[in-house]
Amino acid sequence: MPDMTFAARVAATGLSPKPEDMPKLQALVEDMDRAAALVRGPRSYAEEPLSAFRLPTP
Amino acid sequence: MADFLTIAEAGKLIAARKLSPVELTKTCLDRVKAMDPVVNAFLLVTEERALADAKVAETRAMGGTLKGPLDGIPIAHKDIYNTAGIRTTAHSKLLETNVPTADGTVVSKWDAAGTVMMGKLATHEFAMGGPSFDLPWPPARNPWNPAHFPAGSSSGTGAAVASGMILGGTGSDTGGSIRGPSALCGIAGIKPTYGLCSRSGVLPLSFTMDHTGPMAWTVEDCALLLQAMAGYDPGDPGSADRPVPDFTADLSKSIKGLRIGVVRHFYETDSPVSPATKQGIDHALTVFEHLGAEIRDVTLSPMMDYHAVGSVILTSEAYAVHEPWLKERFNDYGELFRDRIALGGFIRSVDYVQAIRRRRMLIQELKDAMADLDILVSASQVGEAPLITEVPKWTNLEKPSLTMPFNVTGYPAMSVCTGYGVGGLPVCMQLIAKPFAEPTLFQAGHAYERAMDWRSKRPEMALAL
Repeated sequence: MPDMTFAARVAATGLSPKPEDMPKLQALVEDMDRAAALVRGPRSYAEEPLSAFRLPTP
Repeated sequence: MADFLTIAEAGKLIAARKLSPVELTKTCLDRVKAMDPVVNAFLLVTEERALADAKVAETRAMGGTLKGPLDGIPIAHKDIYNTAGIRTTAHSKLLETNVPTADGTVVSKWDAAGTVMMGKLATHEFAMGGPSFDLPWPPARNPWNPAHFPAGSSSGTGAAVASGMILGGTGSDTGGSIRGPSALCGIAGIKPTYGLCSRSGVLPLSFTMDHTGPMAWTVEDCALLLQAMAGYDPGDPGSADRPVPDFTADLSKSIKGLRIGVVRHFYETDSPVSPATKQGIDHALTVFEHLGAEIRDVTLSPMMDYHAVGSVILTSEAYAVHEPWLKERFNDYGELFRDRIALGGFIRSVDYVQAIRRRRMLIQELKDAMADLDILVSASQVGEAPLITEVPKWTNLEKPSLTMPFNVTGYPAMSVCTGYGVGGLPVCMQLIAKPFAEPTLFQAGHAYERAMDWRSKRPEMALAL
């Protein structure tokens, strides 16, 4: 979400970290953003996720 | 003080009426009293309960009505396992006074097997983060050197087993929390196949990544403990409805012809390990070859891919568990857990879905890679235990976790000690098998342990008693 400031992203979560923890949290979030970018790779639109909807056998 | 016994050894002696469960329990309690003020493995010692359990086991032993190889064996539970009437805290201020009304399924099963319940063990807060120094109880320390980290989150179990305070214990593993402390404390610990052991009555962290499993001094003991732990439980939506094999039947069978793949890039380039760890793995491969196994290298996706998928899923699911408390009591959590869990609030729903799509691909990749293999070998930790004051607060993409790939895929994986490094602390390897092929995993690990002498060494503080 590059279009939002970090402070706005924190506010959107509803969490209330201490002001002095914000730089550390921002660094951790940037690392998580990189992880998220890595899982977005190209794949067929029809590729189902692992947890495909399955009903239990009656 | 009595010799250190494995569960297998103690079980045989109890059955032969050559060892009293009460005396064994008292020995373990004495070790707790002597070492735990330094090691901090226990959050709660249930001495009266332990002695009562032991007396009942002794009556069965004398009457020839033992329930099996775990009857009269002192164990303890990680403090995220619910124990009826006994405080269960997750090592957190949030649950400081929580007393469950019912046992978790695994706790009930071990109780039914006749185990002696010694108490509740330290964990990282809610099984994530750590070591933390801002919680109501101090973190567990490594009995090989208390200035060092025992890893986590099943830190108390690793420390208590290595020092002989208990003969076995429960752990849980969402990203490596059984295999990490097993590795750094020099014991054996298995994260079974996803769905093999119930998680009902165990405080959740990540619904699709959480596993319960046993930790003990030897691979054989892990097999004995898993036997009493595994099985379908309708109370756990992830539980697999399938028969439980006999985990010890083929334990001593030759591994001649076993097909072993080495995921060398995981520990040589993706997350390089210490020379002692690499040397331990190389030597283990030589041992396996000597015992008749066939060995070849295998290549998977970079470990960073597995780590990224695991991080997004784990953090999202953990956030879903904790969101209400996070909003109301954010600063009641310890700093490490709070920092890590808060990330879940920043992950977009589309990224979670992409992660579980990628997860499916990685599972298929591992299935294909193991089509003509029985076992994979990799590292479990990068080296010996670091100083407890010098543990990085956060694993990141640049240092991906060696254990996470098998939480992402759900494959069974086990830490096995491969010796001791330059600092005198344990080093280890990780063995992985196909889903529900735990017997093969135990067979390989047991063959290695029998070929080596590592199980004869214990922490000096325990030997000094």
